[in-house]
Order: sequence, then C-alpha cells, then structure tokens
Amino acid sequence: MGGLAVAVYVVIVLRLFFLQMVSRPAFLKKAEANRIRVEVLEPSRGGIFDRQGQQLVENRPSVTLYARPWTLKNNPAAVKALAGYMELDEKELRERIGRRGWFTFSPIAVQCDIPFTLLAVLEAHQIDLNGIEFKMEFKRAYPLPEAVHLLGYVGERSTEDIEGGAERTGLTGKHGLERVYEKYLSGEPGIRYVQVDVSGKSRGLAPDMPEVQKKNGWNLYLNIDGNLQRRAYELMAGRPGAVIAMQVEDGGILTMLSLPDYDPTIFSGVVSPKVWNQLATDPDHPLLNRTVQGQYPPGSTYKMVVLTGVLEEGLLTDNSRVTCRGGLQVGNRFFLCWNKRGHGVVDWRKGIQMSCDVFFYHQGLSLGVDRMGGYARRLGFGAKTGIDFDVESKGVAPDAAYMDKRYGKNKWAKGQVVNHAIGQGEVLVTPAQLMVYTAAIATGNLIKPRLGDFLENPKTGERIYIEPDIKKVNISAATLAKIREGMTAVVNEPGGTAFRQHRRDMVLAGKTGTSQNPHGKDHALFVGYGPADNPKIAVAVVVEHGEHGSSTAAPIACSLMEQYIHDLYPGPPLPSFAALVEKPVTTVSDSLDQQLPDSLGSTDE
Amino acid sequence: MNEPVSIKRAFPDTTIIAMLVALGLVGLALVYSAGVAKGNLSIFYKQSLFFGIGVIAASVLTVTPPKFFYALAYVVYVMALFFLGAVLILGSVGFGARRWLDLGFLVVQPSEPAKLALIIALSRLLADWRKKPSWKLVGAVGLLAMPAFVMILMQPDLGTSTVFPVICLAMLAWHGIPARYFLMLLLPFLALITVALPYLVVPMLLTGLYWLKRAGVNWLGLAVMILICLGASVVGPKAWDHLEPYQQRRLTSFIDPAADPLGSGYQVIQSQVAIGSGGFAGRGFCKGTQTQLRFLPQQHTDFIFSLAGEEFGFLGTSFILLLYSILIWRGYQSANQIRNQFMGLAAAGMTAMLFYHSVINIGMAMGNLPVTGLPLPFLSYGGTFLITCLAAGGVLLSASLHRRTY
Repeated sequence: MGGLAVAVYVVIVLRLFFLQMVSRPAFLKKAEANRIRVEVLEPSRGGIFDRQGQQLVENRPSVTLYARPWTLKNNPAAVKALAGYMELDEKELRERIGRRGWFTFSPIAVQCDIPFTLLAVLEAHQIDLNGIEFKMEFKRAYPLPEAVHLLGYVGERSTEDIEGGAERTGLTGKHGLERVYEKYLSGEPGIRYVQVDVSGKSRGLAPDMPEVQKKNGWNLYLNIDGNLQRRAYELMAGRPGAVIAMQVEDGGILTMLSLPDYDPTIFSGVVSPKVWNQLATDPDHPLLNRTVQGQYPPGSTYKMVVLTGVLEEGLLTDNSRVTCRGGLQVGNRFFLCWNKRGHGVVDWRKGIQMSCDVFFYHQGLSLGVDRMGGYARRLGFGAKTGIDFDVESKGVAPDAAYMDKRYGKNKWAKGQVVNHAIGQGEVLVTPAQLMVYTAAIATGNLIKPRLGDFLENPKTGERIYIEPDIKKVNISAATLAKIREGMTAVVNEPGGTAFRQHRRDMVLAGKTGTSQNPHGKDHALFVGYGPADNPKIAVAVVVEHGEHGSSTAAPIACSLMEQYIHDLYPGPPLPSFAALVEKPVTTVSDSLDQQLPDSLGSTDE
Repeated sequence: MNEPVSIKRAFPDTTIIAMLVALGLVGLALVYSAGVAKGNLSIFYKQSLFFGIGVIAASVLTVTPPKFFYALAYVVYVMALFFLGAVLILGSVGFGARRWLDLGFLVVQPSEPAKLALIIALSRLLADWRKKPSWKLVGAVGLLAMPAFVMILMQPDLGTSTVFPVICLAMLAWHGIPARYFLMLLLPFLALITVALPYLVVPMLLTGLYWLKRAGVNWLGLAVMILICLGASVVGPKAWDHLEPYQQRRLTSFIDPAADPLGSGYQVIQSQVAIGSGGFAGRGFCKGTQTQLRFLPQQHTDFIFSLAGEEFGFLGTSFILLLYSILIWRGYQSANQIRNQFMGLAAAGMTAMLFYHSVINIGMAMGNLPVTGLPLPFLSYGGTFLITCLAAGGVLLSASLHRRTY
C-alpha cells in the first residue's frame, strides 16, 4: 500500500514537472497579465508653424471621460446615472464602455472633449460613479482658420494596441499636413507598468519593468506665410475657388487657399456622423482642397503651352502674322474668338497679350494634339506636382495616346486641337499645376512645391529639412524669354488683358483665362509671377463662376503678389511703370533687367 | 533488558519525526508568506502556537500505550459525534456552512478530530472481529461511520464528508477483505459516472462483467449488483439536484475551468497560474506575484500548495512531495511491522487519511480534481486541522514506539 501511495505521488510530481517546467512561459505570461497594468503615456502632438513662426495649429487642453469596465460591470446603477448625466442612451453607453470586453481593468475612453458643465456634474457625483475617471488630453486648435485645407484635420485614433490590451488614444492625422507628417507630429507614446493587486488597486510602478519614455511630436515649420494666407482669404471675399502661391527659388508654398471652407474646430474632437455627412454631401464640396484636387479647364492660361510648342518646333517666327476676324472656320465648325470683332493682324506677342483665340487656333492646328500634349507635360501638366499633401489630382494633358484611349484609335477629330489650344476640351489642370507651370516659365525650372520647410525635434532641436526638388525644364531659354515677354505685356501694356492690374512700383507678369463651365457661369483664372525681371513668387488663382479672368481673378493674384513683394523689399518704391512704357518698348523684360536691379540691390540678398 | 538493541528499539521512528517536523516548518514558512501577502502576520503567530500545541499533543500520544487507545476508542468516537451534533445546532456559519464551534476562548472544527476518532473506533471494531471478513463486517463498518458522515454532510461539508468512506475503505482493505467486495462497493459510483457520461457505459459494462467472471461471482450476486447500479443511476441525478449550486459548480468546474473564468473556475485558473509561473526555482520567498498581490484565492488554506509552487518552484513542490512520500511510506511500514493488530489498523488508517488529504488537495491545486476544500496536511493554515494531523502523526509514532507490544 505504501508503494501505491508513492506511485501516486510520482504521478503528481510528473504533472508538476509539466505545469512548472514545460508550460511555465504561458503561465508566467498570465501571471504578468494579472499584475501589470499597462498605462500609455500620450506624447503631446507637435505644433505647426508658418514661416514667421506664428502657430497655425496648437494643442488645446480638453477633458476625456474614461470608464473602467471591470468596476462598472457590477454597478448598473452607475451606468444608468452616467447615461442620464451625459444625456445618452444607456444602451449606447454600455456599448461604448464594453467595446473591449467587460473584464478589463484598463480604462476605456468613453467620450473625449466633454463640456465643462458635464465635468462639473460628474465630479460632484463621482462618489456614486465609482469606475469613471477623467483624463486631461489635448485636442487641436487652429488659430489661423484660413489655412484649414492645407492643415487638414485629426481624428480619434482607431484602436491600436500598444501592449497587454492598453490602447493608444489621442489624435491621429486623417487628412492634409496632419496626415502627411503624422509620423513626426504624433510622437511616440511612453509605457508605464503599474503593478496592481487583485482588486485593481495600484501598488506603485512595477519595480522590474522600467518605464518607456514618451517622445513628444516634432514641430512642423511651413513655408506658408500666414499673413499672405489671410490676405488671400480677404481678397477672395468668400467666392468659391482656389489661390495658390509659391516662392520660385525653392518651391516653398506661401499660400494655399480653397473655398468654400469649413470650421476646423468640428474636427478637433469626435465628429458626429451627422455633421460629417452634411459636409461630405454639400454640393459646394467644402472638404475638397481645390488647389490640388480641383480640376479645371485652364482656358487661356494654357496658351503659353501652345506658344512654347510652336516656338520650340520652329513653326512660328517673329514675323509670322495671323489675321483675326473674330473667328475661324475649321471643317464644318466655326470657332469664335472671345473678341467677336476680331483682333486684326496678330503676331505672337499680341497673341498672348490680347489672348487672341484665332491666333492660337492656327498655332494649335499647326502643332497638333500630340505635340501639344508633350509640351504640356514638359511644363508639368498631366502629372502630380509631388506636393507634400496627401491627395492630389493629376489633371489631363491630352496627347494622341490619351485621345486614342478615350475615344478609340483614330475615332477623334484632329480638329479637337482647336479646343485644346485655348485650354478647353479634354484639358484639365489643377491650380497647383498652373502655379508650377507659371514658375517654370518664370525661372526655367520645374519646381516641386513644398508646404513643409522643416521638422524640429522639440527636445533636441534637431531638424529635418524637406529638401527642395528643382529640375531644369526642357525648353530653350529663347522660347522662355519670349513667353515671359508676352506675359509681362499682358499686365503692363495697354491692350493687355490684365493691363488694369499694372503697378507703378513693380512689374508683374501673368496671363488671364476664362474657362467654359458647362454647369454654370464661366470660371475666371489668372496665373502670374513677379517681379517680372527677377521672379520671386508665382501664383495661380481660380474663381469659380467668376466669369472673366481679367476682372475677377487677376486683381486677386496681382494684389497678392504685390503684398508679398512689398514685404520682401521694404525699401524705396520701385520705379514707376509709366517711366518704362514711355520708352519705345521692344522687349519689356530687357528694359526691366537694366532698370530694376539698382533699386532692388539695396535690400536684395 | 540490558541489550543495547532493545534500548534503541524503544524509541519512536526518527524518520517519521523528521518528516513531521520538516513538514511543519515548511507549513510555517508558507503561512508566513501568506501573512506577508495579507499584510498581517497574525496567522503566522497563531499557526506557530498551534504547531507547538500539536507537537505537545503528538508527544503525549506517542507515549500513550496502545491499550489506552483501545479502551477509550468508542468513548472518544461518541464524544466526537456529540461535538458534531453540537455544531449542527450551535455552530457558527462561514462560507454558507455550519462547521465551527465557538468555545469562547477558541474556535474548533469538530469534523477534523472526528476523523481520528473514527479511525480509532474502526480499528477496535476490526480488531475485535474474530470471524472471516464478510458483508456483515462491511455493514458494521458502514453503520459505525454513518452518523459522522451524515452529520458532516449536513453541515454541509462535502469535501470533509468524503474522507469518512475513504477511511472505511482503506481500513477494510488493510484488514484484508476480498477484492470483489471493493468492486461491489465501487460499482454504484461507476454507475453514477456512466449516468453523467453515458458514452462510457459499454466499455465499463464489458470490463465489469469480465472482472466479475474472474472474481467468481454467482449470478444472484450479479443480479443484486445490477439492481444496485440501476438504483444508483436513478438516485444519483436526484442527489445531484439536491447538492448546493456551489457544490455542483465546484464538482464540474475542474473539468473545464476556462468555461467560467470569473466564477467557479477562477480559483482553479489562478492556482494553476501560480504553480505554473513558479518554474524550476520559484519566484522567491514572499515574492510570488500571484500570492503577494492576492490573485491566488484561499492562499493560506486550501491553495497553500499553489503558494509553495509559485514561490519555491518545482524544486519546492517536489521536495514537499518527497517529504510526504517518506512519511506515508514509513507510516505504512510501521503499520506493517507492529504486532498489535489494533495499533496496526490505527496506524494504517492515520496514514491513509493523511495520504488522501494530500492527494485531493494537491490535485485540486493543480486543477486535476474538483475544488473540495480539503486542506493540505501540515501546510494549510487552521489550528484544528494542524493539531489533528500532528496527533495522527503521534498515533503513528506510538505505533512505532510500541511495535513490540501486543
């Protein structure tokens, strides 16, 4: 009998060997899960600053309500009371609290950004509401609401496990710069291991598990000029459209404005589905960032593409003339010039200056669809600009391959080129592309626009620069010089479509455009750069339903450029334009080259 | 009488003494750790005091001559029954049962010493039985144990009540009743199991018939047995319905503790986690997180083995089992060697009682047996039980000391 007893004990020892030696890791893990409560230390999200260092996005303190499901599990009265105070359906509240199960000790975020009045009520009743907690958290605030589209918005992080069931809460970039630079802005959460006993009470930090330090998010410094952004907002006066402006030396975006906009504060916490649906289904598309997502027929602003093409291909000489009688018969269709009385005899310079459609119908026909599409691509159309924004449209720069694909091989009329030549038909561009194209003409460089300038580590001061990306544009200098001359004439010579915008103290260049809109009034466009001789800024403006580029878009663009150039050169006023025009002007830009640097030299560089 | 050999033989078994002391000290260490976890060492001081009392009781019993036990056997048992009756009427309630008797200066649990009293009484009954073992003897043993068994069941304390039939069976076996008697006694329980798990009917029936044929049972006996089994199958489920829900849960939850992890399975899971996380060398004295942060329930009483497993690891648990093995082995040896039949039966009964407790408790802690609430001899906190176990050790020592006495 003693032997039998010992045999039973041997069996027990074998079982213990299995429990303690073989399956130890699994049990140890369970023991650790029992005793360790993982607390996530939320890093503070990086701020966003403009080029002058004014803060465009900051963190606003707010209070988040947390609940401990394990504690509330056996206290339905408290849940009911809480639902009452929150004016929430009890069932919905239970769903929120129990979304990660009711057997967890870790607090679950129930509602963030609770109003102060609710906080006061809950704190007064906290004794009856055992199992709820408040945590100070940060939400986003936007001191410059005019910049809402480029900054984008943040949202509640979808559940993301850190470790042991603890989840990272707080905000994550959902759109715009908040999303593009999320990796840096969000920082890295720290982890604190708290030892708890069976009742869930803390027994202090676990001595054997060191805390993981949190790393706060990096600050993002933009090329955006907050003052200029505000100015653009004023100039647009609430009309729908887009304004985008860039420093031409390095591609830094100075202004990016899209209208209509929305109130950024609705995205600072939890967006209710109702508000979201309202925004998403609004026929005016307030969520759309028109500067990079909006696709418009460029209208006459596209004419520099055509002119570049014919000049590069040698299809047009300085002596070439076209007579405009207010329209042109092509095949069985008669294409009108915008000026039905006709422009008379037009050379390349007048063609741009007066934006003569008939002149460009002729150039388009000689250039052809395919070559025109090729030059458009060289100037940045039909492809994303590569701006550091999370969404961007490509636009359409139609060439033969595109037309074949769209209509079937040889199923399209060659006469379509007549439409393309005036930026209509299949051609679609974004305001950002128009700006890059204008800058390419002004500088001979195809420049990648950059909203961000650099990121700065708030602790170490370490910086990561968003490097400029500048490529030479594949167009001869002579051609570019002519285009610039034409664009300068548009603004600065009588008869130019934007002559009303000429300035006494500076020389701006540009091109107006009016694009036909099948859904309503025509869109008004203007692209421009300045100063004409030493370009600093390139700008593109679209005013939806603005009807005429010359009257609606041009004043906005030119005023914006004027302000920027003034800010840049606060010295004596530039020579008056009147002095320039009295001379026999052959090439405006040549004369500017001789005259302007003297006055600029005092402050430039 | 001048022979040195006889002087040497006049001393109780030193191995048993060593095991009792070693287990007692291990128990004190474990209770100390549980006290640290509680933040109150009073249980340790109390247990030390009980240990002292138990050692004195054991010493007194060691030198008590067998004839004294023999003479008082029935008197002590009747006294034990009296106390069990008193508990049912006057006992204080804890854990939904009446188990404790408050004597004013101390609280005792009469069901523990009742085990010893039954063993002594049974020893006398069996030693007095001069005829061949028969069903009559089995019946007499059953009748003697019945009042204690029933009264403890009424407390209710299912776990402790099971000790009484086990003692009866073990002592009948020691006395040498034929194996077929056992089979017959166990058959109703097997029938009950088949009610719960019907798919076992066919294999069990076949093995049963084969065994019966080999044991040479006549067909009348077989018919009787089948009737008993059918009766058990009918009565069993009804008896199950009569069990308290907590008893039902305890009996079933060990099969799958994870089915109800926060209810009745909780204790078993936490106990397994404690034992398993101990690993080879344990997490250190007073450093087990399951114990010290109190995830392990009943850590100073029912689940003290899990505390040992967590803090002292496989080394500690196998050491404890080594101590038990030596104690039980020596216990049966001294029962074998003794010339006095009564004392031999008493020693065997004590050993069986200690063995049963240890196996049921450890099996429960490991999650292999239902949570019955049987404490672990020498290790679990509890004055009455510790003193009872040391007293049982005293009876073993008395048997070894008086092994040459008739």
